[in-house]
Amino acid sequence: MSPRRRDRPIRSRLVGLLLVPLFSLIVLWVVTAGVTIGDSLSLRTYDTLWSTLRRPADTLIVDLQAERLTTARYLGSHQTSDRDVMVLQRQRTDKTREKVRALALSDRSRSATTAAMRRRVDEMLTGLGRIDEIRTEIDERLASRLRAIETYNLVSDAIYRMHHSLALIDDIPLYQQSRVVISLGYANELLTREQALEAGAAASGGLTDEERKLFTQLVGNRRFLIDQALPELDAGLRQLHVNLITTPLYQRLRLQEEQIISAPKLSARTQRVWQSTSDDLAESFQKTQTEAAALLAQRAAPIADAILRRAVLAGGFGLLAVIASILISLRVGGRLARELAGLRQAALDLANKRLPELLAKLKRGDDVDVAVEAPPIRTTGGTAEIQDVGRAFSTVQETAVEAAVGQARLQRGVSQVFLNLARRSQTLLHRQRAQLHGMQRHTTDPDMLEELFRLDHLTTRMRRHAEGLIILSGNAPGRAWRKPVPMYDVVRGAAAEVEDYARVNVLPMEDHGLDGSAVADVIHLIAELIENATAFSPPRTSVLVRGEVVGMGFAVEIEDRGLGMTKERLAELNERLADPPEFDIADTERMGLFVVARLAARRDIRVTLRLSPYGGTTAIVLIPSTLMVGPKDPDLARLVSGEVTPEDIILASLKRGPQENENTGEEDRK
Amino acid sequence: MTERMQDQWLDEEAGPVVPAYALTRGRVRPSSQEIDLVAIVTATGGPTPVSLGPEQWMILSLCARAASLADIAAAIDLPLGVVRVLVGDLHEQGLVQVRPPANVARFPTEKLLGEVINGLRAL
Repeated sequence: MSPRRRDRPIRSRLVGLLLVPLFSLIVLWVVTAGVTIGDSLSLRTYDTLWSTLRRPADTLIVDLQAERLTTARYLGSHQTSDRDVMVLQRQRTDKTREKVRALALSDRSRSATTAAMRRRVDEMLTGLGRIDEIRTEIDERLASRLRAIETYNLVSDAIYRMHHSLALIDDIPLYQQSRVVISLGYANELLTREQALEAGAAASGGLTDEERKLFTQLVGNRRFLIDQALPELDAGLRQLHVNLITTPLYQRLRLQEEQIISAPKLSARTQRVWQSTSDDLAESFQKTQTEAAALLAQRAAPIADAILRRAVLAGGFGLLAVIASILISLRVGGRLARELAGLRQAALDLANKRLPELLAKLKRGDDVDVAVEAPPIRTTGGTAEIQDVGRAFSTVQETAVEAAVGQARLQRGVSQVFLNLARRSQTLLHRQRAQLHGMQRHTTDPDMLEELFRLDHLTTRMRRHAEGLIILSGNAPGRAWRKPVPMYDVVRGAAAEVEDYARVNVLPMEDHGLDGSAVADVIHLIAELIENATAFSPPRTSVLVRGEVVGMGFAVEIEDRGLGMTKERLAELNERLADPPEFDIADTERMGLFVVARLAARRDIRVTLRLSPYGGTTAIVLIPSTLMVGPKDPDLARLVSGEVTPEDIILASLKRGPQENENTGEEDRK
Repeated sequence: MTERMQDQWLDEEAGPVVPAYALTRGRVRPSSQEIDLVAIVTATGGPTPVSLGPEQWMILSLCARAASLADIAAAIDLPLGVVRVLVGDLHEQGLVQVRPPANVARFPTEKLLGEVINGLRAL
């Protein structure tokens, strides 16, 4: 029962079945976990960007605004005191700038930024470099006030562009709000530019035309920005800024701005008022910005928490779910495979071992207890289909065993009927022979004796057939001897049972005896062979029977003068004799041969057929020495030596008397 | 009809191993001469051929001293007809002598016996 090449065990099929969903599940988990982990990583990135770029940049902007203001004032007045203030502010700016540069170029910042962000950062750093150029120009009085202010403005713009590019967060409303807050911060920047312009103009005596144009632009832009930004803010953030705008301070600022735009020259008082108003407002603006940033940070916190929670959920619980699915799959699959393996083993055991053993047992004629020999097939586990198959196998087994037992019982019954009939015939024939022997003794008339001899012969042949039936039923023929019987008598007795016994010539043989228990079997065996020999040779030829002691026991040769047979046929018959096939009731033709083979097997006798040099067939019967008794055996010696004394004669006569009486008595009983 | 069912026969009960008819191969008459029931058989003591069967050996040894056919038959437990054929075979081979029984005339007559009785009574 080797599996075909394409057959695979159920285990691998189950693995194949479970592999696809498990694989999909794992892929899904990896993707989900990857996304959430990516989110939490981007959260970290946001944090890094905030601490390494945006917060330092905010500080720098404040410093730059201050430097721009002091520079404008100095360029307006060219007074040493203003210059000192400017230089002091420059030093402060440089410190902040160095810090910003160092942080922006740090590995943390570099690794957290994308290529687009990095471009903005680099732009800002380049802008920072230009501060030194403009300072030199200012110091050497090469730069006009306007140019200086515009240069500072460009640097600020670069910083704000960077700010915008970095304001990335995984929450769209928050992202929008933070961008709006940055825009409002830019509005503040514009206000400080206005301050710078005005401060320069105040020191020098008035705005130039170009300055005025710029101032007008700045005012317009700032107002536009604030007007644009405010509706976009949500309630909390808007309130902060609305509070700022609705202050009288802001209203005053607006009025003053318009005055500055319209009046070519401002009074010293107006200038002072503008300065304080704008300073206060810029301060409030800055404060509002800080508050807004804090508010945003406060809002971002739950989002960060949510992202982290999601990462834990998707990663952790997802992993748990994957592990649980794998474990459950393995468990269920393993159990199913085990159940099927158990069922398979039971079925194979039934087909290959138990049923054949049971049939062999029945064939031998042993008694079989169905409950013991065919217990129901046990299946493990609780799968309904497997249980059903197991039950079906049990039923099949039960039916098969019952059929086999029934068949065997029927066969045994038939055989018992044959045996009974044969035994009855044997008993009657035995009595008939006893009576015939008595009659043979009492007659002196040769003609009468001849008739009796013929009757005796017929009876003997009938007995042989009855014995043949008994042997076929697997039993022993009824005759038995306690003492050894001379082989010569055995062979002559066998010859006498054959139809054509007159043609059989038994040559005298050595005085060896055959064990009494085997006599009936050997007589029958040799009779069958002699019968064959007479049947397969022409009527006028004789059949020669010889016997002699050989190394392994005693050999009897039965030689006919027939036509013999082909070598193939001879080989086939010899094979049948050596290994008797199962008896087939239909094959009556070979019944004799079957009886010979069965008797030979029972007594360990070897029967071989071979071609005789005369053309016929010789059957050689080799009786093992275990069944033979040598001529020295005292029981045998007395019979064959011929040393019979007169006392023996008298004893024999005496012994015969009551025997005959018994025979008569038996007749009376019938 | 109740029959005694018997399916085992031991030794003598099983009957002779060699049936009587087989000893003579069916012959019922001696080949040479008719031998009387009371004929006296005596072995000649001549050389015995090896082809003799055991029964003939027994006959020969029984008639080492003279024995009648009936005696021999009784001794070897064989029908008389069979012994007659076997003795005939031996005779043919010159191994035994068969003496015919004494003449009937030599037996005392009824008259003589009556006289003997009378004589005895007279005593």
